Order: sequence, then structure tokens, then C-alpha cells
Amino acid sequence: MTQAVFTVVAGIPDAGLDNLRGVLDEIRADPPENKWLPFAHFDRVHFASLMLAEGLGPSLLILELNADGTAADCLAVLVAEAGPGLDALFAGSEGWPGSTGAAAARSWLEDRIVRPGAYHIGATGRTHERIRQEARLHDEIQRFLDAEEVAGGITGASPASVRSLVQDFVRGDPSLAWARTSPPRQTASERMGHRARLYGAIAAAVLLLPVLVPIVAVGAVVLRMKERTDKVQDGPPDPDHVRRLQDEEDFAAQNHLASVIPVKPGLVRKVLLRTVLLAVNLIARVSATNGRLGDIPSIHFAHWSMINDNRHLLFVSNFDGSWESYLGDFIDKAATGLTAVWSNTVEFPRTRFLAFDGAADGPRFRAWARAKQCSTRAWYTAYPGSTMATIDNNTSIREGLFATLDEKGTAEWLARL
Amino acid sequence: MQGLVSRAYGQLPCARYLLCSVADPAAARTWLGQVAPGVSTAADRDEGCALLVAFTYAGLAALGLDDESLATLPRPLHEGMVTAHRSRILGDTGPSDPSGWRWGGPANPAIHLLVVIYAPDEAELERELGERRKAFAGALAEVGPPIDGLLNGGTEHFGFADGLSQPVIKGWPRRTASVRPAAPPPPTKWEEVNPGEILLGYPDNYEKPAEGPTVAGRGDARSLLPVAPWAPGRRHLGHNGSFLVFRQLAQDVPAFRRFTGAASQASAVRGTPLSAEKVGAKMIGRWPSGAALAVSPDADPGEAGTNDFGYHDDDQAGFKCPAGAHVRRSNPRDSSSESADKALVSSKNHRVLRRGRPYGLPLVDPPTKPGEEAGADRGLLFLCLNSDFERQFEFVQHTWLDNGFFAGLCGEVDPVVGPQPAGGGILTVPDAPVRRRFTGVERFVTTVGGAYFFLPGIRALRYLASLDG
Repeated sequence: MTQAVFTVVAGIPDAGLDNLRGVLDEIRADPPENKWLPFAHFDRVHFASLMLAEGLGPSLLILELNADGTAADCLAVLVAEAGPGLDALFAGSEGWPGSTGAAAARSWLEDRIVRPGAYHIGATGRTHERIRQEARLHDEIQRFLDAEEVAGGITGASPASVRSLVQDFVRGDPSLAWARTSPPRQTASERMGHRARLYGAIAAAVLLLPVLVPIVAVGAVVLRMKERTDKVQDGPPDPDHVRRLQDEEDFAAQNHLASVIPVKPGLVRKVLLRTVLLAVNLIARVSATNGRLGDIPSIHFAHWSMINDNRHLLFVSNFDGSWESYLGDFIDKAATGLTAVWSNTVEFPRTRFLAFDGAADGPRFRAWARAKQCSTRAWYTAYPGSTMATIDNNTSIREGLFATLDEKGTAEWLARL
Repeated sequence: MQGLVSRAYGQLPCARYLLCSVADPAAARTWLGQVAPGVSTAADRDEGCALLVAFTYAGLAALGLDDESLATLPRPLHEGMVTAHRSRILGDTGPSDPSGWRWGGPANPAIHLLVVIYAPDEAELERELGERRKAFAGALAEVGPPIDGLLNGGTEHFGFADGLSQPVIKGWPRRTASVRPAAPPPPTKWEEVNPGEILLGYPDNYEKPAEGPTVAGRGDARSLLPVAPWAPGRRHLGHNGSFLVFRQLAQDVPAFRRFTGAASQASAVRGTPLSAEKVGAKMIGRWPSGAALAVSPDADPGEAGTNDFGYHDDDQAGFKCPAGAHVRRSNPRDSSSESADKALVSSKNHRVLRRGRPYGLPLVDPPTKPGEEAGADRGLLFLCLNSDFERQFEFVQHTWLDNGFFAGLCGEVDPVVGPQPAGGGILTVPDAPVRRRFTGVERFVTTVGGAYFFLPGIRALRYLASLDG
């Protein structure tokens, strides 16, 4: 199942900024049904956001989309169904042809697609429709069980017979016919493809060892020299900035985080960052396919891209729970990986050998992350009441509903409800 | 450091909490200078009464602390407990909205100081109170309603033993770290935290010094305060201090009993009913005696027993202690990830040291004196100490207790203290063949007052007393 994780990045001249801010405010006021980009009407979109990155040269409007299907198809839908909205967003931007000429508009947008250097999808292979269906299945089964309990249907019943009751209930409801089968989350060819790319990269690295070893050795020395003198953030983030960020947080089960950070100057840093992102991506495609990124279960869609001519690192994440718990999870469980990526951006806490210390310094990493966090102007979630855990649980309920299960499997399946 | 850090004054069951404002800054500083030597310290042994003094951000400003130093105080203390975002994340919504609070809310007078007097009995309390009031007359004004805390043998108003599990500072002998008078067992891996989790100036769980407020070195001419190593040229006002959370939580005991009774009746349909006491235990995670469900899942053994247990090995699914039970939400121990060790390390980064006590008389039916009736005002004066409001207290409240998706649950907040929706919330109790689900969980606990304070060490009190206007 193809899913697209990408951004569209467009330069916005100063003259157009005020107007644009007004449009963004209107979208923020009602992301599902606003008059510009009513995201609820684009069924393929899981999460979307709009950021305005200012103060780094020409201002950039960043439209983040996480959708089923390809990026091109997603943009085609927007052009077809939200032309005036796109006009309002991109009118000031150089060369925007206007939405009435659909092909030209699509082409303009596609030219500005930035694909991720590394990305993560929590609910691998599950379309928006499937997530919605499986949530409904969960709710229907719960309602059924509650009614059965009151009617005495659970009294003295064995696990197998309770499951049987649920199966009969689902069979008896034509609107749940789709639940009688269960497609795989990832096809075999998708899995093999990702594995092949990872092993291919490892094989290439092994073959190139004689060339790589001296490069890495020299690189390590240069890196250590830089690390000792790199500027780190001095002091806590601006309280007003943090307050403004917090005012947008903690309304749904999920939150959004975005940052656009200058990469440290010099070729070494750019090369390191590209390489680390490549490595993270190759590994994640193979090892992070059942919800968790490492030991962190709470990310729906997240990605890193280098934008603005590789001068800035963009990070966007749609995750469960609070900012505080998300960062705490990263500090406690994934500091090394994060440090390897972010130590290449400015003012990151003191790091050794690319991946050590850095984010492990909880207080300073949190201060840096807040200072560098960019205001999310507007944010849309297709399922504000679902977490990764509930999405995965619902899929497992559907998968186990008609599967052949032994006694232990039946008990585990029932414990999901 | 002030005494509250190392003891809960279990031997002083009466307490009066005075919420004050600074009436005259110079007089207040003089009073502070007189009182500082007598403020109860951790080193004090048997004293007749004990005294505690803590300050809000506004209080420190009113006392004359300069703007540069005020800016070094943490943002939650500066903003206070009542902001739109904070009320959202602390569950102070609906009936708990700060607009209806008795103190600390936008409709109440500004609070500058908290002065707490602990005493062995009512008579001593009144005597001590009289003396203290004479001493601060003209310097401080009492701006809050009278608040009395009264220990009830270590039991809170829903009828359950409280204060059984506390973080223990590594390296400290485990004194009476809870209000219960039982002999303390040696600290275990479940409880040990670095000193900086509670005490400013010491290494926290990340081995970094817990940074408190600082003042300019040149402002501390008498070198009252130690140097702040992370802030060259500055001295550590927070040394041996901590940050104090104080929330008054009204408890609706009749509603709690109604719910557990109704749930018990509903549970009878399966032929294996849960007693009302067991429903309550499943909500709290411990029996009324304090025994943990994870250790004694079937019946109350009658005494609290060990605090040395985890959830990961035997009870990850929550059949003994439901995953959403109050004590499991307040301290998930080793259950939050696939690696028990990593989960424990992670959950210990969010411990708080509780120092609260109940207020109001327990419900007695039929009542023998005023205050025991069903409708009387009673609840918990929740106090806790931590060095980082956001990572500790606010995290527990927002990410664990009030989180409808805690531990993979679907739309269920803490059944005992959570901000339940108006129509009633859900309680899931894992069971065989399939879960029991109870609806109609009401909001049993309502916030009626709250504020964040800085609890200075003794040297910091002397420094504050020595400020120029």
C-alpha cells in the first residue's frame, strides 16, 4: 500500500505574508471544514500541516501532507477540489499559474515537492479508510459485548464461546462484511524491496571499505575538532515563544511538532547529515514496520528533509501525547539516533563523535528543541481520537476475529477488548 | 533545607495552611529574617511545632527580588498554575475550572506566600498560630480561606491507605518518608532517585545539576549562597530548595460509594460479583489496607505489606491491577515498555515527593459531630515536591492520570481522580473470559484551589530577608 509522506515548499515574498497569515489563521480555526483547504474532504489525507518559516532568507510556506497513494495523486486531488484554497496560499509565490489550469498547477506543485531524507510511518500499510473501519469495528464489538453482559450472555461462557458470539454478531451485520477478511499490512514484495535496499547498501559499504576507512578516519578527526568548538545554545528558550507553542498543543490525542533548523556550515556537516538520514531511512524501512520506531510507539507520521538548497533541516512529526512525553521518550530511548541527525544543525547541545551526549542531556536538549521549534500555523488530523496503540489494537482485533486461534491466542485476542 | 523535604511530619497530625500576601515588603523581609532561624529544617529532631515558608513568583517579586533573578525562575512558576494550556493539561476544566476556585484562581486575591504550621494537637496549633500571627502582623496579610489539614491515620477520604509509595533520595537513610507510622523497610530499586529530582542544586536522574533560581554574585555580599556552577558569576538561590505544588482537591465520597455500589450490583450478572470494596480496589490499585493488587489480587490481606513489586513480569495485561488503576497510573514502575529495566528507569524520571494530607472529617454514617455528614466539605490537600514542574508533576497529571489513552486504553482517564466527561466515564477491569466494563464513572475529585511555589533552603530565606527594597 503506497503512502506518501512529503512537503511542498514554496518561497513567499514579504509582500504576500500578511495576506497569507490571514488565510492560515482561517484554516487553523477549522482544519476539517475551512473554506480554503477543507481537509476532511480529502479522504486520503491522514495528517496535514502548514508552517511559515521566516527569518532564514526568503520566507517559506511549507505544506506537509501524509496521505494514501502517491504524492502526485494527492496534489491532483487538491488542485481538483480546492483550487481557490491553493490560489490563496500560493498567489504571492513566484510563477504560481493559478488553479484553473489544472495541469500547470499540478506541475508547479510537483516541482516543489520535497521528499523525505528519512521518514517513519506508524500504522504501516493502513489507509485512512481502514483505520476508520477498524475503529468502528472495535466500537461495535464493545457495544455488543456490553449488551451481551447485561443479557447474561457472558455468564459462565468460555473464551471460545465468547469469541464465537462476536463472530456471529459480525457475520450478522452486512455493513461489517469487510471485517470477514484481513489484508496484510505490508505485501511480501514491499518487505523484500526494503530489505534488498538495506542489504545492498551494507554490501556496497563493505565493498568500498578500502576507500571509506581513510575517509571516515579523516572525517572523524575533523568532526571532533568542530564538535569541541561548535556553538551550543546559551540558556532557556524565549518564554513567549514557548507559550505561543503551548497554546496550540494538547487539544487532541495527538500533537504536531515542526522545526526548520539551519545546518551547521561546511561540507562535512552536509555530507554527514545526508549519510545519516540515508542510513536511518534504510534501517527504519526494515526494522520499524510494526508501529514502533525503536522503542517509541507513539509516532503516526514523521520525517526529516533537507530543504532550501540543503541549507536547512526540516523535521515534522505527528505523534501521540504531549510534547513533554514525546521528547522524554526520545531522550530516554533514542538519544543516539537523534543526536546523529541533529548534531549537524546549529546550537545543538555538546556532542561527541556525532552521536554521543547531545540529546542525552535531557534539560538542554528540551531547551534547544523548544527554541528551534517552528510555529505550526495550521494542523489537521483525520482521527483526533485515535492513538497508534488503539489503531494497532483495532487492526489486531480485526486480524484475529476470524483467524484460527488456539486457547492462548483466543485469550490474548479477548484481552484486546 | 526546609524540613518538609525529608519528613511529612507524621507525628504532627494538625496543620494550618495560611495563604498570604506581602502587606509591607520591608516588614515582611524583617519578619523573614526573624523567622528563618526557626523555620524547621531537615536536621531538626523533636520539635513542638514545625513551620514552613514558600513563595509564589509574585511573592518573590513583592519581596524585592530583582528582575534579572526573577527571570531565572522556571516558566511554570512564572506563569502560575492557571493558564489556558496548563488548565487543559491538568484537567482543571468543567467543575474544576479555576474560575470557581476558592483560592489561587483568577477571581481570587493574588497569593505571595504559603506559611504552614504543623502541630501535635489543636490546642498547640491555636497557640502557635496566635504567636505567628502576632509576629507577622503588618508584614503579611492572610488572603485565603482557612485551610486545615488533619492526618487520619494515613487514610484518605475514600477509605484507602495513602502515601505508601514515595521516591527515596539515593544515599539518604530512609526516614519516615511517608505519613504512615509503620517501620520503613530499606529502599528498593523501585524507589531510589537521585537527589536532584527533589532538591535543587544536586544531580538529577540525568546526572545534571537540578538548576534553581540564581542571583547576581555581587548582590550576595555576605556570601550567604553557594556558587551556581552552571551560571558563572551567579549564586544559587535554589540551593537545598525545591518547587512545591499545592492543590486543594475536594472529594465526593457519597458519589464514590454510589458508583462502587452500583458497579458491584452490575457485576453480579456474571455470577462472580465484585464486592464494592473490590471495585474500589480495582479503581485505586490497592486495597483499603494499602496492600497492592499486583501482590494480593484476590482479597485484602489486612495490612499494606511490601512495596517491592513490579507489573511487567506477572501483570502486564492488568488482570491483577488494571492498567488504568490510580496507583499504576501515578507510578507505572516497569510496565511502560517491553524492557522492564528501561521502563523503570524511564518512569523514575517522573516521580514526585508527596507531602499532602486530608482536610475535613471522614464521612461517618450516622454522623456523630458536624463535619461527618455526607455533604460536608472534605478532600485532599495535595502537596508535592519536585525540581522540574513539567517533567515531574505536570507529566504525571497529564500523560499518566488524565490521559484517556494511557497504557493503550481507549478514552478512559483515571477512575478515581480523572476529569470524567459530563455523562460519566468508563472503567475497564480485565477479566476472564472477557473484560468487565462499567460506565457512569463520575468526577469524584474536583480542584478547588491551587498554586505553584518555590520552597527555599534556609540560606536562601536569609538571603531574601536581606534584600534591599
